Amino acid sequence: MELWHTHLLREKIDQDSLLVQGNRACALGALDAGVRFFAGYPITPSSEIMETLARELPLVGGVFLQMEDEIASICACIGASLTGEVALTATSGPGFSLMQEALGYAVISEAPLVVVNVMRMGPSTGRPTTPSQGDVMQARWGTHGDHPAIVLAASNVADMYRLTMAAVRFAQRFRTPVTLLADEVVGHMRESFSPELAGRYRLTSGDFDFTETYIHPEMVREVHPHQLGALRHPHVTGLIHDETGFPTNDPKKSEQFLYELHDKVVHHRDELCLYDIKNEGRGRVCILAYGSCARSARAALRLAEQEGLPVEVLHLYTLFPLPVEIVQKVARRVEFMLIPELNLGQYAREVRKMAENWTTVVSMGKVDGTLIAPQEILERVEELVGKYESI
Amino acid sequence: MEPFHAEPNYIIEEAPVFSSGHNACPGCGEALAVRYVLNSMGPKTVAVIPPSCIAIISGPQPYSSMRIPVYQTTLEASAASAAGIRRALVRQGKDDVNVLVIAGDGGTYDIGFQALSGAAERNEDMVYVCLDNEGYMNTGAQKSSSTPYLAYTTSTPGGKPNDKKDIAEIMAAHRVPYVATATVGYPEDLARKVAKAKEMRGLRFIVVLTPCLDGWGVPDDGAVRVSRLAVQTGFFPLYEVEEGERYAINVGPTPGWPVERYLETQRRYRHLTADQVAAIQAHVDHKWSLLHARAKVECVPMFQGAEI
Repeated sequence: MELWHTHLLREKIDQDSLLVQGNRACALGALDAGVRFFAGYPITPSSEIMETLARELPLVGGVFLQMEDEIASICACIGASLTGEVALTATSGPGFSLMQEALGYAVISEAPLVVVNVMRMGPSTGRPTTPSQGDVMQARWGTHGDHPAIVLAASNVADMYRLTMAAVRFAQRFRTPVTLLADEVVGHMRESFSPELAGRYRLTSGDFDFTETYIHPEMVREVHPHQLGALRHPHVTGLIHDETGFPTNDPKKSEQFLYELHDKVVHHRDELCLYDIKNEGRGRVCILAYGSCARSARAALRLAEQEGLPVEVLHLYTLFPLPVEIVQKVARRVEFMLIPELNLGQYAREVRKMAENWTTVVSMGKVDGTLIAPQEILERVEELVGKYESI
Repeated sequence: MEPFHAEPNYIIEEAPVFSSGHNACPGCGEALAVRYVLNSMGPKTVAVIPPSCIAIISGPQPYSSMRIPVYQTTLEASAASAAGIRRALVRQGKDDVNVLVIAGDGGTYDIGFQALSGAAERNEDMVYVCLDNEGYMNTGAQKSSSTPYLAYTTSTPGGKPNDKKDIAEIMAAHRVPYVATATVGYPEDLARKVAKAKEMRGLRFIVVLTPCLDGWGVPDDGAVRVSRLAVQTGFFPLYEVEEGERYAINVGPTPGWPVERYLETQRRYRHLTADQVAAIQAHVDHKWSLLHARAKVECVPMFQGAEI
């Protein structure tokens, strides 16, 4: 197994532990997953991903390109992707906005690539050095037209490493861009974690495992079959196309194509939706959280246990496709779902769609640029439980 | 070429637009440039500023260091934003307001170039000042396409393999009314060029070399010295171009001063080998010869009209 973590293990400070910055961990995850192409543009708070890869990629025969803007960055990645590379770019809010058109191009041309968005407060220039989760719905619906989206959310430095690997693998397997969301705190924090990696994330189909077959160098160099397999002269287009790769205006074929794009992701939710549950089955309140808020949620769980409050935590690593099965499973057994997030309730609305038949979904948004403290979550839980008992 | 200084006795007339207490690093070369640019433009000016160190210097609300309206636009759109402001002001009959863009080199050479080229082609009526510190210094010193050959940045850890874009020549090729280079080590030259540009119409472009203490690896008191060395060694020539063809060189290099004198003042060049320094010297010499040729060019008609 160590073979697949060569870049990460170089960061060891002693026998058992590592100390890595989140953005650096993301770059190391990309290297260990076999990413050998990066094109990007400097932007706070994601620049360290680029700086790490500027040093490391040439040492392993990879390509590092600094482009003139974010549009060029993602387009270079698509170009590389069409040759069979799996490419990665990293940015933050304003750059992610500029990338949206090309992101749609990557979806329709089925180009595997990973976009890391280390979120900062928006809209526009916003507050570049404060954490936010304001880009969640942009990651889902930012580019125009009906399209699938695979969106992961990292909550700590270990996630930055492992979810980058997962994002690479998902991009390869489903031939579509994958967005990894982090926020400023996750990107900039330094923390230690165990290099022991397997089995930490769960899927409804079982444990998610980083084994040799999972991150296999041959897998990340698969040639794009849609174009190259179909004809001797591949044709790649952003127009609606049929199985030959050439454009079509045929209504039937157009509809079929869009359904295929959509279904290839949504019909594989059991392979894509990574999550973790703490205190499973013992909560009247479920704190559903992702990203840095999930850390607060886990800390709030410990506080709640001290007070004897019935709380469980559903930590989502995959935001899209919507993890319908697990959210509904939990919703059936809890009275409240509390969703702390650093936006005005973007994901709470998604959860409401999935869960409101069975439980009361309570949004807890915060947009002042500070993190949600565990105590704040605890107070909300106390309020909810108290409210229930008084009825 | 003999050393000379075109107008050493120019008197700078400053209007109190830029105030002290701004947010720049102590000793910042760029803050000095902002002072001479704003104070020469005067109070009847609207400033358009994309994300950059200049946006930081202009200050967080409500503590603006600039006593004029400031529009902080998006990184890719300075020239387009300024064009909108100018055209609307003209429609409202406010022809006497100056529209000034102050952008960094990333926002000019790289991501803002499309908007700038479009504005130049339409000859939009604005003064566009690029404060060029040769990299993305505000995000931690990554390279831009203005970073010179072989300079270290955090995204070119082995030294930048490509040459700096020659933005003055690119803008001159758009045949805009006025293009000039300037630097903070020659404040009277900088202020004169801004004052001159202010009186003209159409797109006027000034690129100002502004040493970045942290990004270049220069001591706190070194910005002016390094800036003057850039000119005196011929690394950064000071010149003007009108209508894309009338060249005037303003300050001559000091004879016999090798470019090494400039390079050795900065941490970003300390990895250079003797061969690399020689390569940079050869490059600087070559660019000087090209500039000279352009400054002295005699027009020979291509088509005499005699025989078709």
